[in-house]
Amino acid sequence: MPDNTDHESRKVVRHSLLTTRHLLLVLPLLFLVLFYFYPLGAIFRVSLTWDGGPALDALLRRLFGSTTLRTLGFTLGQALLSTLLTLLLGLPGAYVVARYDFPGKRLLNALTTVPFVLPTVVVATAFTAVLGPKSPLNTVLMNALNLAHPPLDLRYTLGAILLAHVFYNYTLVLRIVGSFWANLDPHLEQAARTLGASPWRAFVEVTLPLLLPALGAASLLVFIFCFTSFGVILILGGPRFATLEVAIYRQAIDMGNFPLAAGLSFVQILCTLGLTVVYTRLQGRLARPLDLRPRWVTQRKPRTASEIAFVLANVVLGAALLGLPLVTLAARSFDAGLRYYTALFENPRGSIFYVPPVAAVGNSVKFALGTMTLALLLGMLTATALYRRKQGWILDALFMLPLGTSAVTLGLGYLLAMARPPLALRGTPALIVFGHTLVALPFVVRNVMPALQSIRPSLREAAATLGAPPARVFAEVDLPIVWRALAVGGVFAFTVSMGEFGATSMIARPELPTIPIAIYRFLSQAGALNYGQALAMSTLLMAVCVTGFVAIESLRPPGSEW
Amino acid sequence: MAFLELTDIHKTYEDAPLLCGATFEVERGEIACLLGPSGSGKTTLLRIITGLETPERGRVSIEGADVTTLPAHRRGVVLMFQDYALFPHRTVAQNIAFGLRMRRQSRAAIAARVAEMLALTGLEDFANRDVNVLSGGERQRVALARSLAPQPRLLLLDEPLGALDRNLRERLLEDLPVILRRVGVTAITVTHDQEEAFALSDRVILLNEGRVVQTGRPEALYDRPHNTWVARFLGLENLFPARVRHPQQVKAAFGVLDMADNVALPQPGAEGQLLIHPWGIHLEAGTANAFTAQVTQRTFHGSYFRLTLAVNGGTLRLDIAPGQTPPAPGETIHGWIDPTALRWLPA
Repeated sequence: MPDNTDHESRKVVRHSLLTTRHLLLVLPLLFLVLFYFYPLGAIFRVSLTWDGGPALDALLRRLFGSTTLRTLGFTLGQALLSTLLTLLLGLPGAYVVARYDFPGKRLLNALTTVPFVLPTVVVATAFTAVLGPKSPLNTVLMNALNLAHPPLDLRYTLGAILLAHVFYNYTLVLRIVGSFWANLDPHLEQAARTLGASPWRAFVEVTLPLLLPALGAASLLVFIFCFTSFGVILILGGPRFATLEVAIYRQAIDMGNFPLAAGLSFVQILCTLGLTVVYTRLQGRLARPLDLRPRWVTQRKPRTASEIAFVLANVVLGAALLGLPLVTLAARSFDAGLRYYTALFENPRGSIFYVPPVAAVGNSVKFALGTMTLALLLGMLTATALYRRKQGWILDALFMLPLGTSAVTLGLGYLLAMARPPLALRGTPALIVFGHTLVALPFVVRNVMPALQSIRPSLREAAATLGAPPARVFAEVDLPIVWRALAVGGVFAFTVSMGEFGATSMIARPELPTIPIAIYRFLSQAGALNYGQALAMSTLLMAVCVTGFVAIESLRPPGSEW
Repeated sequence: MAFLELTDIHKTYEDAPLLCGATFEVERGEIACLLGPSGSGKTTLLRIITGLETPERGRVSIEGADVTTLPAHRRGVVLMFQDYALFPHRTVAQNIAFGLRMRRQSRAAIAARVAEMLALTGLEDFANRDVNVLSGGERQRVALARSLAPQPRLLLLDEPLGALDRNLRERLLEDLPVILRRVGVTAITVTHDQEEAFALSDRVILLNEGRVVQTGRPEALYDRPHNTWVARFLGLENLFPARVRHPQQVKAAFGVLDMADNVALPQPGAEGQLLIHPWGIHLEAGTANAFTAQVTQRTFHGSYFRLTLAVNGGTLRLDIAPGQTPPAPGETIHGWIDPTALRWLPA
């Protein structure tokens, strides 16, 4: 027990620290208000306004038009199907990574980060390459069956959308469920077996209930991601399919119907908010105290032939799912030698751009560098201000909010709010940087905060008693320990900005395209050269993101996965 | 035909042989104990008997039927894990009812049996408790009740007291065999602790490097170890290289010793090891097997003194009650060795 005087003095110290920490938050909070709450407010204002006067009635009339309900139904339906399919394929994979140790597992583990850093535009383009008429499968079939025309074209089908969603979320299930399962005591299931439960019964009675929190968390996250899916649906769904997200984009950009777009955004925000609340409540309800076991206790090499076959089947499935689209994308970008790449440097008359397409690369890099700088600055301030506060969870949650808000909604908010003073930023490059920073900020905070929390306070106190003033303590103690986390956050911010499509597609000026915008424009044009340039540019963007991923993996402290 | 028969069990673990030809039997109603150093394959044997592992070679049969490849849930053999493996998402009563539900018993029958098991293990007030808040001893009793509830034909206990602290361990060392005998279940426990093995079981099966080296009642094992490894594992340290002189006489470095009449020695000239039980060493002048030694160490252990004596060619260790005045280190003493305390072990 510390005595009272000590307790009191500590309180005083902490109090004075709190006020300086509040000052640190001024800039991040201002940023959040201006570039998150203010645009969202604009959406609410527009969606609840009809002919100049506010009316809830107006919103409802707009939303219950014939197409809106269908769009909502399709959004929910495809998200549900995607989630089920992902679970169906991901659960056996999660079991394999949780319970078996096999050669190449570390590599597989590292590769599962790839979907997290790959932009939706790249993945969607890759799937058009795998599923389209010139796909390798069609070539094989045409040669084998002596066909004149390719038999399969799966682009613009529900199946294509589901596959791309499985690509993104398969590794999410592997990571969340797999890492939880890996620490679950295998003796529990074995005890059930010796008490007379068949393998299936033991799974249903013991393992499944214990996995529920992880399963619930993974399913809801997958559902939320698919619910707000934009790039994949826009590119792979073609004109036939529209989620809320795509409908917002089309209403705002193609039709110029801002009130309806705002109304749809309103629904979108309510839905994601509701799902997030369900998610947090489920997490709290289902968490059960478990004796977690170290991995060397729970994992072993596959032994029998059927075990080896099962592990192999899952590894092949995972590798094919993750690797095939990306390899096909890269391979097909060279279908015409280097022609697709050289075309990026040309600026022919009648082009869909005003500049050579390669200028998009320069734009993207500039935006990404700006985003990285701003996100690191704001993220460091936020993390420093919040990491020691027990009651800081409200502020913490506040800074995570942008993660749960769809990018297109954000873009729409900027279109509506930034068109006139006081913040007439619409059309400026700075607005793109601000938008990207808002999306990247949570990643930086999430990476830096645990690193700051891992520093024992006695280290700082020791430095202080040895004569270091606060700024010096930060430079000599904190910075050397958190630089890795900062670097990871920085790379995340960079790749997020490079790949951002939803918000950018709403606010980018035509003559200042980013790489994803350029890819989308190429895809919307007919002609082999346009499609080829989309492939080439996607491959370039993939290379940038994979480089970022290698950097992240090599900076991450070892031993943090399965 | 014994109740349980294991014949020539082989199993490798991570490419190293773990079990290499283990063979033993257990009779119905018996409480047997697998004793051996860590890494000797005890736990793996339990897992093979219960069906969680399959041996690479060899046969397991229960009541005459070959069960080597029968899945765990059809064997009627329950394993109680060292960490108890209580289901954290179920209450105490639900844990105990698990095996009964698997056997599709009626609700009423399950409730009656659960109540019976709670009473047997002294857990009457715990039925609806969350298992995650129980103490170590309570968890052990829940695990025991859960294992006994479905009336297994064979109960396996892996280090049943291993997870408990010392005081609790001593008490349960007495309680556990009482409960097991009251139920009349055939049981095999696994332990690396000889004291625990002796207290828990009717018969000890001693395991080393994947083979059974000796089986028998605890006191018989202690009295007549088959070889020097067994003797040393049981803590018998007074071993000396020796040679047979006459049918009843051996020669060690510190003197010629007479053996008891009923000991069968090999041919004169054969070399081996002489084991001297400490209880047969007397520190007073005597006629039989007299020796001279110097006291090198004396340590006090509460209920006894332990003496270390230097004799020609080795050391003798023995314990003496504190009532006697023990000789001090450095003293030279004379003593004699009771011929009935001598055992001949092969080299």
